[in-house]
Formats: sequence, structure tokens, C-alpha cells
Amino acid sequence: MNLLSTQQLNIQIGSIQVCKQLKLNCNAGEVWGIIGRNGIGKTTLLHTLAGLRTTESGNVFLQQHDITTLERKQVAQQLGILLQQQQDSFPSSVLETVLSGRHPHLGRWQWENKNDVDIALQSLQKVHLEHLAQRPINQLSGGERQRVAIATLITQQTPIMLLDEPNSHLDIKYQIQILDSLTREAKEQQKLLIMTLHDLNLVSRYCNNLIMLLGEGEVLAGSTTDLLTEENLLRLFDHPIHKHISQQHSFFTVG
Amino acid sequence: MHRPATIFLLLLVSIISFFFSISVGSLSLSLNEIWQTLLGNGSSMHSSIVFDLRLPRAYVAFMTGSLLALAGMLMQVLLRNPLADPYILGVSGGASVAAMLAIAAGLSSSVVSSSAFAGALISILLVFGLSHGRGSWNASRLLLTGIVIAAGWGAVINFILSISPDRPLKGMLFWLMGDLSQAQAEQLTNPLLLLTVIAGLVLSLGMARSLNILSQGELQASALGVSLKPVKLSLFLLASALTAIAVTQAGSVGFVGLVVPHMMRLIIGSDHRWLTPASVLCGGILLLLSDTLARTLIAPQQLPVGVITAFIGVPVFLYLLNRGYRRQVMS
Repeated sequence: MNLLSTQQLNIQIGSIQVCKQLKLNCNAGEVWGIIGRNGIGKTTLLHTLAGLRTTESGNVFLQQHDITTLERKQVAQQLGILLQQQQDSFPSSVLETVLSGRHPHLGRWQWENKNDVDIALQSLQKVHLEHLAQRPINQLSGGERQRVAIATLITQQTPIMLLDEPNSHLDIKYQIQILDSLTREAKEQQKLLIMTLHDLNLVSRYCNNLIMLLGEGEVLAGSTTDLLTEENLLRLFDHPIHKHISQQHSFFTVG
Repeated sequence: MHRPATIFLLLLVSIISFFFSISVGSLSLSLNEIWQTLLGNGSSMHSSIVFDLRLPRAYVAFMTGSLLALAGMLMQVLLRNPLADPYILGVSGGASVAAMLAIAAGLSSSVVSSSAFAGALISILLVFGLSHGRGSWNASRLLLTGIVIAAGWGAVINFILSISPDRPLKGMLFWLMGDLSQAQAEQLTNPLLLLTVIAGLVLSLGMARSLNILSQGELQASALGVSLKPVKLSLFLLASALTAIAVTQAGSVGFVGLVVPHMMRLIIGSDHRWLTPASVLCGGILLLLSDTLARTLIAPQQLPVGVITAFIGVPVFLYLLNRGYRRQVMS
């Protein structure tokens, strides 16, 4: 089932052309990776797909509906995004922050009920933070804060999840555990996952599809096995990268 | 502390503050005398003291304090800045300039109030127009526009003060520091002030969950389904309107709007569904008690209430802040 697609999408920030006439079709159960150099527009593309910024031209469709015609609340019921940076102007507790993920599912005067709290607590368990539920959010480490943000996204319970560098600040153990559980859920519950990643070994391990931002509007989109070649990676990163294959798994080293 | 219990306690303290404020003064009244007078069984002197003097003033003080605390809380979320207060965007500056011109012209106190309101509105429109303009409406542009406009008004105020003759000068200074001695008995029968507080409370509670999320930044709020434009616009207009009405009542009383929301955050947390009623009550209590002291401390002379709010607010706030930090370190 098609969950998120684009038609003739043009994105430009200042003098940087992120993509030109981009056509994407992202379906339920797929995991997409977005890779490219610093400042090439990975985050901008992700924000555009989430409807958080307007396109220069072209459209983003959320389950066949033009995303600009939907209310923010309707979008947030279908699509959640993990932002690269978190801001806590007036810090509340970890649990209260995670519960904010229920916001799009509640009416104006409605309070979170026991079910909402259970969902939030389960999300905290998935990122191994249930013991910090009552801790003020400003007393967490960078990695813990990132895991709270991921728990908030899980609490939102959307069929589409966009993640901007989900691994930043995370220990190796949590990188693998969290990506394992998110991608497994995507496959089992027919969700769509799109994430920006830097580590090519994680890309080849978790993503079945790729969006490569090559610069000057040139974009390659397709299956990971087709796209993740030494030739494409040289163009992408402007640096030689070697691909090795052992026991059906590919891994990458920097030349 | 349990949050409903905290609200209940604040309600209780509010009622006690009213009784305290009505009982003290040049003639002190006992609890029983106040009660009998409120029921209509008091002597004519007592009912004149209660209904013509002390109750109207207590009422205006409490409501003004509520308005300021609420406006301060809303401004702090809108600008996501802990230093924001109701006056930061120049609302009181515009009001002050207009009020001082009216005082200088020797006009009556009701004209001073209405021109203060007009001045506040002009300032709101000015800031709104300049910061909205073309393009996006971001918090830092709004903040800087407001601060610059406020600074401009400040210069005009100093200019008026420096050229004004001695006679109206004291009235102007009292207005600038906040003063409730103009409260009239008729205000008890005029529901406008009470309705404003109730409307402000209800509207803020309706946005409360959105405000919680807005504290996590505009992008995150938008990602979680908050429509930024209407929410930010309502926040700006509501906070400005509440401030405009507060300064019309009592001049620019400082400190309540800045400190009360922070005090309540330390006690009841940052969830705006609890923070809003707590701030409304605590703002009322602080201004009511401050005004009671302002008129009794060196009676018969009256002090500007803004001086007392700071005298009470500074130590209480520092105590709570310190206690908050100690609790964090220990946990």
C-alpha cells in the first residue's frame, strides 16, 4: 500500500538545489534510507516529506492526499518525525514529554487516559528508560534525551515514521537495539520508515530502499542492492569507499 | 505535592487573603464583623469601609494580579524565553506614555485609564504590524521588535518625566510603579474585570496542551499536530489584551507577571493545564497581599504597590529556586 509519495518535487534552499522533479513511491512495510554529504539537504527533504516546509514546486502525497490540504493534526495522526534537535524551554518530566506524542489523538479538552499512559510507558521500555519516567527532562544526558525523543515518536503510533539521524548521541548497543525494534515493527505492522543515516553498514543492514542525494538536484532512488555500489558511493561522498561481501552481507570500509 | 491539592490550597489562601485585606487598615475589623457586614448585618460605617473602600480595592488588586500572571505565562511560552514578562513587548510602555500625557493634562483618573488602554492598543498593533510584515513570524523577530518598541516608549517616558512640572510628577511616578488607590466602588458591580479573567483562563486552558508542546519548539509542535499560526496569533493577542486591561486598572505593576509563573512551575510543574489556574490564583494573591501592605505599612501614607510586589516576590522566588535546585541535586 502506498503511504507516502511525491510528484515532480523541487526543493531549493538558497542556491542549493536538493532535488529536481523527484518522483518517489514509498509503501507500507518498507524501510528507506536517505544518504548524502553534509549540507546536501537530507534534513530539508525529510522536513518537506513531513509537510513542515513548503515545496518550491511539486507535491507530497500522504496516502494519496496532498499534504498541504490536510490539517496539521490529521498529518500528525499518520506521520511522525524525529527531529535532529530537541528543545526544552520549560522542562517537564520524561513521562510528560513522551505523553506529548498522544497530542494528535486527543481532543482539545481531553486528558490522557490510562491507555495513553500505558502506551507512553511501553515506549519508554522500548528505549530502556522506564526507570527515568519521573526525572526532569533537563537532567538527562544527550543520549538519554535522544531516546526520550524516539519514545515520543513511538508513542505517536503513526503508520509513517521519519527519523532524522536516529543514532546521534546513542551508544552502539542502543543504536542496534532501537533500529532492530523499529525496522522489525515496520515489517510486522506494515509501517513505513524513512531515515537519514551516516553509517553505510547500518544502511545496508536495515534499509531495503535508498534515496541518494548527489547534489545539484540529482537524486537516485531505488533498492539498496542496486544503488549501494562503489561507483555510486564515490560520486556520493567524493571519497573512495570499498564494498566487501562475506556470507551474503556487504560491509563497507573507507579507502 | 499533589497537583489538585496545590490548587485547593491556593484557593484557600486566596480567600484568607481577601479576609486579611479587608480586616486591616486604619480601623481594623474582626473576622466576625467582616462576615456580618458581608451578610448585610453590619453597621453603616463598617459597610462603608468594606463595600466602598476595601473590598473594591481588594477585588481590583486580585484580578489585576491574576491578569498579569496569566499574561506573563503566555508571553513566556510564546517567546520561549524565561525572562519574558507581560510588558516585554511594549504594551505597558505605550499605555504609560498615553497615561502620563493624560496626567500631565490634568485629566480625571477615568480618562487616564482609558487613554492608557488606547496607548496599549496602539503599541500592540505597532508591534504586531512591524514583526508580522512579510514572511514568517518567528519568536526572535517578535521579541526583538517588541523590545525595541518598549525601549522607544521608555525614552518617551523619560522625556515626559524630565520636562513635566513638579505637581503631576508624583502621580506619574506612582502610575509607573503601579498603584491601586484609584480603585472605585463601582467596579464591584461592573463584571468586566472578572469576565476578562475568566475568559483568559478558559481560553488558556483550551490551548494548554498545545502550549506544553510549543515549549518543545515550533518545529516539534508542528510535527505533533499543533497549527502554529492560529496558536501563536491567539497567544500574542490574548497576552496583549490581558496586559492592556491590567495596566488600565493599576498602572504598570512590575514583577508579578515575570515571577509568578516561574514560582508556580517550581511548585506545580510545567503542564499548562495545572500551571494556568495556579498562576491565576498566585498572581491574585501576590498582588492583593502586596497592595494590603502598600496601604498599611506606613499609613496614612501609601506606597506604590509595585515596590511591595518586588519586596515580597524576590525573597519568595529565591527561596523556591534554591529549594528546587537542592531537590534536584538530592534526587
